[in-house]
Amino acid sequence: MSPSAHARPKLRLLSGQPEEDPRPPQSEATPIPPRSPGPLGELPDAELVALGAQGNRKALELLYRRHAPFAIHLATRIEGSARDADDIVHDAFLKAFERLRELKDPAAFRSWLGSIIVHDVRSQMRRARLMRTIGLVRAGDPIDLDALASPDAAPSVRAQIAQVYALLRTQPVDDRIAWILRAVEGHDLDSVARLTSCSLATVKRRIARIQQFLDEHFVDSYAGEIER
Amino acid sequence: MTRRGLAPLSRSDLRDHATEERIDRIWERIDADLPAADAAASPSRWMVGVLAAVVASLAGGLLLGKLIWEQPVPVEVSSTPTVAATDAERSLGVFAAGTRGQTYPLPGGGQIVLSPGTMLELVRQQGNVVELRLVQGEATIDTMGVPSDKLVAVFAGEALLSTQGGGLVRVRRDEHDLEVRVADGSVSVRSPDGEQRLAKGDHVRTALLRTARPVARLVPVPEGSAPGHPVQQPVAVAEPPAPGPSVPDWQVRSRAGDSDDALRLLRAQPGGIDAAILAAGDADSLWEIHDVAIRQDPAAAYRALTRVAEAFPGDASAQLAAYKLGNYYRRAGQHELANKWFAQAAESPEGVLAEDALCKQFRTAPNETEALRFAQEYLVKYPDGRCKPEAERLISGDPSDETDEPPAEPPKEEKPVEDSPD
Repeated sequence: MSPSAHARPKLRLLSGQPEEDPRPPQSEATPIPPRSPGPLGELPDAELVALGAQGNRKALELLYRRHAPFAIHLATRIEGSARDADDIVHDAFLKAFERLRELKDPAAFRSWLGSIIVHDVRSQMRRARLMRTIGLVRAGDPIDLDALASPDAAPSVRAQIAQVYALLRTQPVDDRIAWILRAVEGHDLDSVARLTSCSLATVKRRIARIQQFLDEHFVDSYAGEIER
Repeated sequence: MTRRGLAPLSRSDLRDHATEERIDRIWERIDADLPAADAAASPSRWMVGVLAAVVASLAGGLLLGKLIWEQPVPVEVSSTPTVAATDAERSLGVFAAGTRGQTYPLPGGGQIVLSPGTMLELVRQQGNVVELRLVQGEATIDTMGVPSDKLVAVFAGEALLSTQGGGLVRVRRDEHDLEVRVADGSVSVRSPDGEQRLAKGDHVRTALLRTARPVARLVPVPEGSAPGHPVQQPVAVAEPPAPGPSVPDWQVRSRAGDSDDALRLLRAQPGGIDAAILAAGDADSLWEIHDVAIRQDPAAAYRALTRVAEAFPGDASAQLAAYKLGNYYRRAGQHELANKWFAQAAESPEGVLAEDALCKQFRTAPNETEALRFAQEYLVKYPDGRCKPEAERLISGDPSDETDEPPAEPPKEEKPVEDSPD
């Protein structure tokens, strides 16, 4: 142990209280402009959903471009890899567009899409775990840190992200999905419950379990170097 | 190894994958797969298409899985020539371990055993050559049974270690030095201290950076060597290969990531696990006992932590030990003991857990008066602390506990005392 560790900068425990989301609240119509929005570009999600359900291809493209960043980040960060993100996002949008008529609250397209993505990633992760169990794929591949961490992130932060995802890998899929949605993606607990189709109590329990596990098992060897 | 709670992840430190090019690429696929407008109202045809796509992607996935299985590491191979990796260089992947050791397959054959807190990056893999960068911690490169034409290179700072297949080498990076132990095979080490060849049983410690320490020093450092005047040409010392007889079997198993076997060996020792706790000469050994026992014998694990907090109060991990003990007794409903340990954890104001410990103190105070006292103390010490709203509510007498946080207490249906499996 480095004696200097005593004087290291104070870093807060997460304790189930992730940082404030720096983004604006996730309204159902996030203003991410499409390339050529045209006259439909100003329409809220609910109206685009209605048009898309009637087969309006431009409305579908606007919905896609509006929510693609959200979908890509969600898929990548939950799975911990960008390898399958394209396929997951592609399949999720196709499923969503196929069922637009079934959407009871058209304004809630974003969270509905999110729940489809979470479901698909979860299925994929469970399938991967099963395939590892029966020996169809190898276990223990390295963490795709470049897929997770910004190239501009400090080495200590990159080490932190690598270790968090390494630790998360050892935990049940449902628990880690809930924790990532809350602590990494910054969703509030109600949103996490909606995205994972679980009760609020279940979500709280899952997040608390992972948080406790991380608090107990996270090792920060950079702590002594930060202050230097 | 330094332990502490996890600092929040900031999304600005995470990679932005939503590039315009990617968004366009995915849309092109969606656009191609979308049914024509008149077909959109025909779910059956649409469903057939989706099902066909799912079947095709599943078949493709299985094929890909087989390919991945046969080709151990699905990584891109850099076209750049072999050079000493720098810290700015991007890695192809990362192997990391938390408090428990981890074992990963080594690309191309063999395995890597990471000690707790280790991070190792896969820099490059081409043919029979694997390049790794040891960012922190200790790793054992095990290529026993792997053909000798395989080459593993490990960079750390300005030092480079290379070994061929058929070896067993432990390499540890600390603040200034790289420590190498050769349990089997041979190793070449190039560092600011010079170049040397190590054989089975050799053990050397060498400088990581030119500026850190001018020359190598050996392990153990010869008595009487004046600081700043070390041996000019390092000569490997014949020491027992790591792990040697000086390391108890249970620790060997623990460091290999086999906690179950480590616990079995620990219990089989004369005097059992408690003798090991009493005999431990430093906090790190006690933490190792804790890590081994926490899943199957949490009471013993917390006895090890109790000794950390009581026998090694000056150790940097003593505060964490006290904090964990506080959590343990709080979960067990023994709030008086919990408060005692939280108080000890809060005594180190410069420690990262002091604020959290004081916060827990007013949550576990034996009575309202004490709770108010701790809450007031908290607000004085941490006027912008994360428990400020709770402390203020307590002082104002507002019983509202509406919070967006997950419950602090484990759910009632869970076991109250034992930790969740870890």
